[in-house]
Amino acid sequence: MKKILFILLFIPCTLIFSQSADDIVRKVDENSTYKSYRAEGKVVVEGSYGKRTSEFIAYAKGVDNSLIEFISGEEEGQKIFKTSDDLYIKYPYAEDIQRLSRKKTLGAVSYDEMSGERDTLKNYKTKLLGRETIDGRDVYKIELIAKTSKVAHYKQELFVDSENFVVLKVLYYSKSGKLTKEMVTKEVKKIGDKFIGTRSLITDKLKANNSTESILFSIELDIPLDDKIFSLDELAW
Amino acid sequence: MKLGNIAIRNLKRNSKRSLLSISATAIATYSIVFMFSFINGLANDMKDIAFNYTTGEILVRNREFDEKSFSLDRAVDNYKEVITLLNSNFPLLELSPRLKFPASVFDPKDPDRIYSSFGVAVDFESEINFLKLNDKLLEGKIPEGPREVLMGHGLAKELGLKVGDKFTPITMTRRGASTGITFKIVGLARFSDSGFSNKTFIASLDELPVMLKMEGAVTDILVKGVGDKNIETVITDMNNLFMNNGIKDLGAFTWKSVGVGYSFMQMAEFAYNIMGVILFFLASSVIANTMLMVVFERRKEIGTITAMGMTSGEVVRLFFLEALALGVIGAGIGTILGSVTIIPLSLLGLDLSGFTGGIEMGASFHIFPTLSFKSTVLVFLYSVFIAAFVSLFPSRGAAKVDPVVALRSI
Repeated sequence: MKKILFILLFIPCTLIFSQSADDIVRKVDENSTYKSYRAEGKVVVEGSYGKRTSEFIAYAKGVDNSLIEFISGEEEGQKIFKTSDDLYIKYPYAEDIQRLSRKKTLGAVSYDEMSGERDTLKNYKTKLLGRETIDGRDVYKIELIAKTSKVAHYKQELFVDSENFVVLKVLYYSKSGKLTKEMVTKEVKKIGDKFIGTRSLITDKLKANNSTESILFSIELDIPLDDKIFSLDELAW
Repeated sequence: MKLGNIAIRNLKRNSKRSLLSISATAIATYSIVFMFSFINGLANDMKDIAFNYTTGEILVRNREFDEKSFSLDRAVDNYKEVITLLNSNFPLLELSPRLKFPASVFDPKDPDRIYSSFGVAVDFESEINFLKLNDKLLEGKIPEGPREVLMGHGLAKELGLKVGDKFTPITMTRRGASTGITFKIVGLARFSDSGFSNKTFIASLDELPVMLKMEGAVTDILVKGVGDKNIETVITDMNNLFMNNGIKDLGAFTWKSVGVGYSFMQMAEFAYNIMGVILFFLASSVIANTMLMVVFERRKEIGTITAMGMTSGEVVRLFFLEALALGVIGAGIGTILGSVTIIPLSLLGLDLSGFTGGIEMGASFHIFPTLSFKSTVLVFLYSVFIAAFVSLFPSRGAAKVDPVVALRSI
């Protein structure tokens, strides 16, 4: 009788856990996917060269396309364009567009991470590891294992706010299991019906004093954006 | 009869044995003359590379510049003012301001495949004299515009580029941001420094510092025309000049203290000296062996001449003179043959660049062996001395031969 009770209790629990990891990640992606998006912000990069700040404008449309344009600082004039499969960069003094490795970094953060991941389930297998508390918030701890070598990290551990599905913390691991980076969301704002992390800090765990803080000043959601913005032709100009 | 004549006559008596000793000494002397000339050539080659391409005789740079991480933020700021200051205080010296930066060229078909290279921004007007650029040009022309480059022919070959093509190296700005600049190749050049030929493209200092967010800055100022004797004095004067003008972040460094060329040269010299000692030892052992054999074979003769009144000292001198004659003839032949071989090689050169396996060691390895009168004479005298010195031991043995015992065996 006890055995049957255990099985009756255990099976639904495991089903809920195995299904909900995908569901949670899907909700995270939904929360960070907009019909369109425009944000202004800055990155503060700290490394061996000291601290430097660059301001940017970011655009996104749907799941696949995003564009970041730097308007000041050392990166001034750079444009980074991400499609579902590729990452491109246009430097101000370059005539041609460079296809970037997704691992290419700006300080501690890769350009791939900067432009955001909105189709996580396409590239990662998920597993719910349990629940924890971060700064008084109840979070889901989810493991992501890469399905493809195209992505920057083999393994991630996401700590997702169980209420608003904002990722509060990410631990990035190499294939050998070494912790390489940590991302912490330091500020969350509600814009319309979406919760968005507006201040985050990524720390490189392999290099001392190497971090990138990203701060968003203004965010506009679901505004009309010309499709031309998200094209290689436009990037070349 | 004089001892000298007896010695010569004795050498002729067993010409094959004498020939063996002479040959051993000649081969050792020849090898050492050749090696020393080769070292001289290698040293000149390394100096040429260091003075013209990497450091100058004196390198002026930021004291905190780190060669390994290429810390562009530790630069020579306001370099034009520094050049003016140096020119007014050291008017006879040649100066070359350079901005050197690492750059990667991505394969357009595979962004994970990267070719590493170096860019060097220079003042082409001064480099035409300093680096003798016109002599290095294989094809095309010296750049005139800000986005034009002169590329090392080896790098162009590796990248599959030719004159007229464009390429976009990716590099870092002063404070570590990545940036890419499209250049047009207007000329290809072959440099003595394989690093310059195989890894480097040269652009103009006019606009590049702006693109790298390094306005008014360079990484290095190379200084030439100092001379070995004055180098320490000039360095002290330059460092005092910087301190007195409030430029505390800059330092002047001798070419020997920066770069790998000098330490490699010292290592090579040490290795060649060891080889020289081994060669001398081998040649000396042949002479010593010959003299020992002579002493044992001529015991009866020694007994006879001592019975006839020759003193022990005269016997020692006789064998010493024989060894000396062998040494003089062998070392003379070796020195002459070495010189005859080196003189044409010093004009034609020895191209050993194919044997380095592409490793950069601060030398072109197209070496012009240089005969030094001083070292050649020293090698000759040293060879003679060693040959004569090793003969002393068997000679002293010969002098101790008891004439009664020796004559009894007749």
